[in-house]
Amino acid sequence: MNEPEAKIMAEVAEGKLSAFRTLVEHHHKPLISFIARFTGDRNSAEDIAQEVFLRVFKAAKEYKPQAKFKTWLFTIATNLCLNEIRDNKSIPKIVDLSDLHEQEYPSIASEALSPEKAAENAELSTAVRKAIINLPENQRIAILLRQYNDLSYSEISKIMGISLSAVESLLQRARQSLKKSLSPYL
Amino acid sequence: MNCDYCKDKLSALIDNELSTEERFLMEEHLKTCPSCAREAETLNQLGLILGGIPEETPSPTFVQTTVNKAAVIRRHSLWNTFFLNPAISFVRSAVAFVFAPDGHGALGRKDLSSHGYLRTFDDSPPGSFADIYLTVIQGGGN
Repeated sequence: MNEPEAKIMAEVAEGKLSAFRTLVEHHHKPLISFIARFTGDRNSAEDIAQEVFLRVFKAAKEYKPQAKFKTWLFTIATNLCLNEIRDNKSIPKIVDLSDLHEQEYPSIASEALSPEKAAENAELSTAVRKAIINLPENQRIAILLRQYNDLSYSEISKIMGISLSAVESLLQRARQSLKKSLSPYL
Repeated sequence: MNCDYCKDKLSALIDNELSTEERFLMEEHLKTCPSCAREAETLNQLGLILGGIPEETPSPTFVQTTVNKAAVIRRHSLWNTFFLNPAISFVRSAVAFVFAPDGHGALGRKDLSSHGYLRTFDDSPPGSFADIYLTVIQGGGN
C-alpha cells in the first residue's frame, strides 16, 4: 500500500467517512468488474462489492499497513465471491452465450463504430466473458487478478494462499483453456 | 532449452515474472524456434483480446449508498461502545444507583411533577433509562 492509502486507512479506522468515501471511489470500479467477471452475474456484483467495502470499514482497525491494501481488498472479495457461488446454486457452472446476452455488459470500444463492427465487438466481448466464466474457479481467480487487476504472482499467491509455482501453473493452464475457447478470434 | 519447458514458461514470460537469466534464455530460444515463437505470439494476442473487455459501469449511486451504509455501521458501533463498554456500564450503574427513582435511590426522589407531562404518556416509566436521564439533566429529585 502506498503512503497516502495507508494514511487513508488509518483515518477509516478512526471512523472517518470522508476517508472511506475516497477509498470506495478509488477502488469500486475494478472491484465490481472483478466480481462480475468472476461470478458471471453483473446484477449481484454491486451487492457483493458493497459487502466487501463494508467489511473493510468494520475491520479497518485490524488492517496492518505492511500489507498492500489492494491485496487485502481482493482477498476479502475472492472469499466473498467463493461463498456466493457456493451458497447460490442458481449460478450455472457452465454458461451459455444466451445467458450472458441477457445481462447488459459493456462491450469492447463500442463508441463510434459501424453497426457491424459494434455487433462483432459485442460478440467477442460475450465470448471472452463466457470463456472466463467457464474456467475452473482457481484458474479464473488467478487470470482475473493478473489480467485485469495487474497483481503480481506474489500478491496472487497471498490472496489465494498458494505457492508462487502454483500461481504460475494456474495461469499457464488458464491461458491454454482460454486459447482453446477463443481460437476463432485468435 | 527444450520447447516443452519454454511453452510452460511462456505465461510467466508474458507476465514479466521470470528472472533476468530465465528471460534471456527464453528470448534466445524464441529467436530460433518458430513453433514456440508462434505460441508466444498467440498468447500475446490472447492478452490483447482479454484486455479489450472494458470495466463494468457501476450505478451512479454505488459510492453514496456504500458510504451511507458505513455511516449506519458507525452509528451502531458508537452506540454499542457506549452501552457495552465496561467502564461506561459502571458509571451508568453508579448513576442509576444515585438517582434511582421513586425514593429508592441514594438521593431519593419524591416529586415527579417537574416532568409530569411525560408521565401522561408514560414514555419514561420509573426506573427506565429515559427517566434516569431526565432526572440527571433536570437536576435530580427534591
